Amino acid sequence: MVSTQSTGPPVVTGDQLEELWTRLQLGLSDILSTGDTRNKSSLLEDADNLCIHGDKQDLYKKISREIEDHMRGCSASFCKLDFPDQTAFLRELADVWLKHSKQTYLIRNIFNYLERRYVISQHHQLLPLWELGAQTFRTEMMCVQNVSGRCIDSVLALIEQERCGDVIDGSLIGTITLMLRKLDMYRSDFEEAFLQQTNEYYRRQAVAQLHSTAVPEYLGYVTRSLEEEERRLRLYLGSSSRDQVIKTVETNLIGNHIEGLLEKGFDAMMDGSRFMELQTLSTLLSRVPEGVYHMCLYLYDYIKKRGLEIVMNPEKDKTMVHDLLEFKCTIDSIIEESFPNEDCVDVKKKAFEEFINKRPNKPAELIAKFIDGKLRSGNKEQNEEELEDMLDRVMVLFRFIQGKDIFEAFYKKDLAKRLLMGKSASIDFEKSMLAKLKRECGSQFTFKLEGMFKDIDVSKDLMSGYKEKDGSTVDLGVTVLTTGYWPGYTPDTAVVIPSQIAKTLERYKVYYLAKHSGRKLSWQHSLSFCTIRASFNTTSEKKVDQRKELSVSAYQGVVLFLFNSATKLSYPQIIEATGIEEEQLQRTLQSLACGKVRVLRKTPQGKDIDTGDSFEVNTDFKHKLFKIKINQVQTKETTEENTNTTEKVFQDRQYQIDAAIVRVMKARKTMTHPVLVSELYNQLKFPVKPTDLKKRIESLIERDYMERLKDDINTYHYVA
Amino acid sequence: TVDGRCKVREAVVSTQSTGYSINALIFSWRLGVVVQGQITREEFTNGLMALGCDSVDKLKSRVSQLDNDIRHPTKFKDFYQYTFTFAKDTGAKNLGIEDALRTWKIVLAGRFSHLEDWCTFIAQHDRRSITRDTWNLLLDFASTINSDLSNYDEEGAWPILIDEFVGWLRPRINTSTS
Repeated sequence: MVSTQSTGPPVVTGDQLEELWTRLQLGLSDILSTGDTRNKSSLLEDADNLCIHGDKQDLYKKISREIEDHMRGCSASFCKLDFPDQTAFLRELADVWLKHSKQTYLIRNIFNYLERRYVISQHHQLLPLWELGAQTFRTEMMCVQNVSGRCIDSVLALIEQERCGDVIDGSLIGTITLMLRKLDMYRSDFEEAFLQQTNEYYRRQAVAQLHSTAVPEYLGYVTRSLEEEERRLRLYLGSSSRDQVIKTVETNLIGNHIEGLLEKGFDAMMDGSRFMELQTLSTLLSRVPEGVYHMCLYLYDYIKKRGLEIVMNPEKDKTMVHDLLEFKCTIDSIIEESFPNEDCVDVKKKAFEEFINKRPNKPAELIAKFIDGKLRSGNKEQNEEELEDMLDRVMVLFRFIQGKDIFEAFYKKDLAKRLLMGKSASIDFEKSMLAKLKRECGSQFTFKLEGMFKDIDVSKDLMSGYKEKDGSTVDLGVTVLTTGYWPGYTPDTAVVIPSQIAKTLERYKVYYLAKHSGRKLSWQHSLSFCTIRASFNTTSEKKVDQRKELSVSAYQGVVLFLFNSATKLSYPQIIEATGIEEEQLQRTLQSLACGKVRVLRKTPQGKDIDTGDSFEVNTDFKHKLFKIKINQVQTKETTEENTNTTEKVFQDRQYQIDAAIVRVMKARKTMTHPVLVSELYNQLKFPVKPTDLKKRIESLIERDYMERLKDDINTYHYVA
Repeated sequence: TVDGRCKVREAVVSTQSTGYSINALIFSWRLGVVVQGQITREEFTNGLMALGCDSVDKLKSRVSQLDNDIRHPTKFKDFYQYTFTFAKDTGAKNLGIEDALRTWKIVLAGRFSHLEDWCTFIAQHDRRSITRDTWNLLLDFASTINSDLSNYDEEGAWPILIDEFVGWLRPRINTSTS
């Protein structure tokens, strides 16, 4: 507001200007010393007036000087002070700063007119009043007598103390750092030192902690440290340094020690299924570059290591499938809970595939047997749902196996036994299993197996048709097997069947061939069984005849029938009379005379069958049951059968390799060795070694199916 | 003539001490002899004509130059492959180990740095006969593979017996050089 004079334009004399300034100077002095002044409004007026009528540049300079002088005074007295500790020093400094800030603010308000009308237009040369105040503080306070250095050291020291567990005045730190920012000193003077200190601190801590604590505890320490740093940053340091600080912590505590951590603690945590700890590990590792990558490597190695322990030890074969299922289940849960990460799922699959196939053939065989055990009647371990679930999980294991033809051979053999001996628990389960296999391997794989089921059904129909037509009362059951669907059985037409039975069989044959004239039927007695009514005439005083019903295999029946017409027979005689192949016959005789149920007596006693042995009916035979089963021989598997099955598959593979080689060579006529080998790997569905392929190639060369080129031993040529 | 045949034998025998030697083999090869130990009238006449011998003296001098016939690598290869047919029993497809070893020692002498090792290896191996393919490829092995086996490719088209030989030989070489 300009005071108007009654006459003419306003004129302000030099004296009046002097007066204005004096008053202002007093006011400034007030503000600077006490932080406030009375009569703010008149000061404002005076300021405006001086601004309008006086020299603005000069005014600015005067203000500047006032502030400067005051600051110098403050600084001088500040530096004379003695501080008991760093906190006290900082407190005083903060105090001075806050006062100064307030004062500067007030001054700016008062000289607002000057600021707007003059300072801003001079912005290249003059600082606005607030910035002027700040700069003055910096030059006269901070940069004098190493106040800034001391300030920063104190802050750093306090932070270090807090990291070590002490309680410090956080808001003080907050004030100081804000001051540094406002003074444009945060970045230049503080930040780098702070980061360096942080780096050093955590570098040392990492070594110390890793050395003295177990991994799970260390992970806890890391998590807490990160949380603490975040808190400190959030509450008093400000977020501009946040990313760098956190990165420093991560690098020092995790990044530089990835291998060390994993080496030290991964396996133990996996073994113990420590979900939470593993989850923490996974989360922390994902914060550093390559963390997850290394973890995946360890996961892979772990799965492989434990998996091989299960699979490679022949002594653990009995429980292999069960152990594998359990192991897979555990790994699945761990990964789901703690490593919810695509890469880890991949790693799991690769590892399983790798270790399961390290032991060729056995896992496939054992899985087939395992399924057989579950599908047999008498398996009361699981209810329907549990069984379905278990079979599904077994299929997952099956998926990893590379030599699926081994599985097929064993599965087929076991299925045949189940179907023919009536040992299936339920046709529904069988069909369900078949459907699973079909989904997994395609219909070609299950085509023959389905054929087996068809044969069973068709045979049932045929049987009822026969019974109607024939009208005989003989309790007969016939299953007609289509060769090719069923496993290969050695024909045993040499076996001598008792005549009554033979006649009945003949009648069926006639009936069947009438329906299917082009076909050929041959009886497979090794698969057949019967029920025999036996009476044991005891030679003791008690004239009670023991009558029993014996469930026996056909072979066993054939042997027993001999004793209807002879009391005692020698081993060679039995061989001749029955026509049964010797090894089979020995097993049969053992089951009748040397096992738990001895319907025959062998002289001399003993487990093995020798040429000198002779047999007779055991007249003293006693058993608590009326109906007795002695046909376990057929249903149990012998080790020879096992090796035979595997051998057949290997033989078959050889034929397949040969056929593939010939097929490929015939089509391309000329091929180099590496190209041929890679083409074969594409075509063959089972695992092969390069030596296997070479063997077959050499064999085919020897048999003149192919030859090498004269000038290039590495290239083959098809011989038409 | 019978006389002539004896002279031939004399000429051949006179240039070396034993009956079964490289010269005898080369000679048989040049004559195109099919069955070892026997020579047909036709083989005899045609062979001698091919060699340019119409007199015993010429024959004698020719025999002493038999080395020349196998100097060129292609000719040697041809000769070497012939010796397989020559050494084996006429009806058999493959060559028995004993005969194979005997023949190798003669024809590959000086041409195969690992000949001795090879013979040791074969002698203790359970294979009882050598196929034509393996026989032929041994020459390729001898002529192309370095004596430290550095350029041998197990993934290549070499016969399995030679793969096994390399596997057997490698550690032996390494221990002798280390």
